[in-house]
Amino acid sequence: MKKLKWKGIAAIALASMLALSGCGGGTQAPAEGGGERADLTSQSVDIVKATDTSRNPQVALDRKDTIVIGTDDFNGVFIPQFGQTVPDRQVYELLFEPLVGVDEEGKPIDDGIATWTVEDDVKYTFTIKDGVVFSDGTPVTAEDVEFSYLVLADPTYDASSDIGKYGILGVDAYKNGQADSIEGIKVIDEKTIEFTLEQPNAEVIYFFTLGIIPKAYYGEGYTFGDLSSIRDLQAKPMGSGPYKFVEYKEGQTVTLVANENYWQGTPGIPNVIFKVTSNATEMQEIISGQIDIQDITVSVENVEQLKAAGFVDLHIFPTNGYGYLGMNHELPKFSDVRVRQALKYAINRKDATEAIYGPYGNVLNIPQSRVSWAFTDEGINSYDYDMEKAASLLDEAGWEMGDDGFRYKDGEKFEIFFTGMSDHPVLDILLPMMIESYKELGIDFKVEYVDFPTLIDKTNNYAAEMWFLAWSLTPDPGSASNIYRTGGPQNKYNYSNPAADQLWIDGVAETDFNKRAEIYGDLYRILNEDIPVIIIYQRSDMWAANSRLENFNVSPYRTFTKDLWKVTIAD
Amino acid sequence: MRQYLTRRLIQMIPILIGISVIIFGLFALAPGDFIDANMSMGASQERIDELKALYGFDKPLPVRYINWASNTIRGNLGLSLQFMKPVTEVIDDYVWNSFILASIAYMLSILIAVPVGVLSATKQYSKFDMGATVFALMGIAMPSFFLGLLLIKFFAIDLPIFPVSGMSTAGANNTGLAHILDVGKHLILPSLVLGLTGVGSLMRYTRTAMLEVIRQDYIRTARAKGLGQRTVIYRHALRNALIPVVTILGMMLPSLFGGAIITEQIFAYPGIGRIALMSLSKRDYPLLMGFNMMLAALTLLGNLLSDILYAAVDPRVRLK
Repeated sequence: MKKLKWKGIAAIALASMLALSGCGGGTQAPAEGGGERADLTSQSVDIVKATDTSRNPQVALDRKDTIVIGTDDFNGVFIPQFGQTVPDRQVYELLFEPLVGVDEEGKPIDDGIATWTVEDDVKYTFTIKDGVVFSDGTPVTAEDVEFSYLVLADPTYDASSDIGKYGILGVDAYKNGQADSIEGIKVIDEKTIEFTLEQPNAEVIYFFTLGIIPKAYYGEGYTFGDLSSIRDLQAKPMGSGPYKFVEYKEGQTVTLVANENYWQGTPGIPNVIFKVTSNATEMQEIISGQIDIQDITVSVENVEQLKAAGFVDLHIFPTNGYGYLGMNHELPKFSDVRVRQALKYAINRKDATEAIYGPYGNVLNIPQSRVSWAFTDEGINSYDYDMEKAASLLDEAGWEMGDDGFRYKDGEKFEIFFTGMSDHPVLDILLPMMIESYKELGIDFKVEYVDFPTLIDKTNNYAAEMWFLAWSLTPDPGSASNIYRTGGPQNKYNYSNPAADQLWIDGVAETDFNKRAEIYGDLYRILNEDIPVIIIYQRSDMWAANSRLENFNVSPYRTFTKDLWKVTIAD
Repeated sequence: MRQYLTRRLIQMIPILIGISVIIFGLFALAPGDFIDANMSMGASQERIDELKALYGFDKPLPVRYINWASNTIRGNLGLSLQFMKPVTEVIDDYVWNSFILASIAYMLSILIAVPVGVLSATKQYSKFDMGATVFALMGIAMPSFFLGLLLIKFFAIDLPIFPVSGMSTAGANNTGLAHILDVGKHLILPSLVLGLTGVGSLMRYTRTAMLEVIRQDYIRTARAKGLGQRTVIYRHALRNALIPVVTILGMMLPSLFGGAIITEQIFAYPGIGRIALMSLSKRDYPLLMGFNMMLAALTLLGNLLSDILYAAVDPRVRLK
């Protein structure tokens, strides 16, 4: 169940990649990989190859033209505009394609269905490549692109993507029914479409990673204010992607077949089946050869078990996310940065991360993935475990140790009321450590246990003092501004730092990648010192793939579906 | 009889209304709603407010209840928030799978529990009785997920006789008999788990009922008349001992449709129990309301069925 919660968090995060995708950066068509920054691709994925492919079970070898991918329960919403969960997303990523793609470093590249140019940082002109067709043979046109985005601006659109945040001209007017179309989305000709913004916004390039749906198919019967014609087709998708939809058995499988009209060539694997697996048995399913691809929680035992099987390749890479301790800065005790620093110094984050994740987790000091193009550790304080430093910081902040072993300031006792979740893989290890350390520091640390939605509700109402949650990261660093800027909708900490606020704005207004990286570097240094939240760790993901699959590729910013069409089954 | 039935059915209505108010109130008061649980990350506050208005979460509680109730009476249980399709359709997709699994498991339970219970009672305190009691208590005490994982390990991994999970083989397009056999193979392990964990209590219940009957005077009379053991037990005692057991069958009605949450989870079986559990953590209230109301109605019907069966089987009882 706790695994479900984690996957739940990751699912929300990944699904909201559409909405969160901000990070503009690259200006001209293919993003220039900054010459100065190191190529992180080779460092980002650790591949452990199978050692004995002869042990591949017969049941797997017999599947000469089919692969089975293990995943979680589907909601059956196989449309990019509406799908919210990871399994749905895995399916529709094979069926639909976007204008813009993302490379292994998280930068935009033109391996989607279009090339583009940018004018004055506000006008994005997309040209659909030659030969791009939907699986029924009809060509993908600019009108299909326009339709795919108009759906998001319909007043009854009720999924999480937020078209309003990019400043595209005329979206509100369209939503209110004052205009028939969106001024900032203009079809120029059959293959060309123009998006115009009110002002430069570096995040918008990631908004264009939305899958394009055919207007003729989904738009039949569609009228403004009524999306039911599209919803009715959510279990019968049709797009331009490498695979075509065959069948969906609720709660069991989704079957896809290669799209013979795929514009980039015939996919290497003729049949793809997604199968719902339970967390309890997914390891067995891989080891018995009944499943070919599955993401499995990475732990020392699991890795050993998979290595022992001999015929499984493992792909291990940093998760796009981090675990952290949030606090309510409105409370006087947390509003002093020295106190926050003391609280961070007092947690042995290195030991905790190692105890929880073994070699597969790393301490993180800034709210960014260590394989992102925006990552930096220059001038970053690593807050190594130091109880003395913590104690002296608290002394400095005016919290004096009393005779009863607790600290007092102005007559008030230092108490922390922590809201945790029970049966939690991280908290089960972290909380005892914190209780002990904070007791030594003279803090009365109390814990209550609630479930995930209750915790979310509490933090939404600013009713929690201190808690543990995880944030997910997207290729664009700008998407985190909602979390850390003053008044940001995800800023549940009442955190405010005007200098940081300005840098969030600057980071999005600047469209050159290298300059953006510098801005975010400065920003992370401020956040590292000011500690809006105590970031603990970044863990890892692991994908296990049967070794008979050749060219299987997965990385933090590129899900395996993006390159699945190039994978072949060895004889 | 007709009068009795009509009266009982009419009595169900206020009870169901009361249940619906309580469940609706509980869900609405629980912290967190669908938007918070699933969509709030990364969305701007305007978008969150927009979504809550679209879903009707900003309206006051009584208004939302009246909306839900008036729709439900007309058969419209609303739209499942996570599946984005009618609740009735979602339930229909999954409930029959649970029904099949539960039916087989209960048949298995009954086929084992009743004969063993009877034998246990007639041979009270013998080795057979002791053995059966141990077995029954083990079944009651054993957590179903433990038994499930054990069976998977022995019969699906170590000896690959049965499939690990699911309801049918992925990718095989079986039809007709081949399909039935394929599903049957997938059903064996989960129904064993469900059946074996339920057999214990049913067996003990049968045994107790049987023991009571055997002590009765008329059984002594039958024996005194010279009737053989077999006739006494199976023609006279058993029928009377089964009276309480038969009434239990009526109570099983809701369980047939309620889904076995843990077993379905372990075996990735596409049942309604698993879906209901998921809906709880996702706060998919329309689906939960619809599912719970269905179970409430079935429970009341099950009660009614029990009473009718009791009257049918026991001539001493008159329904009024």
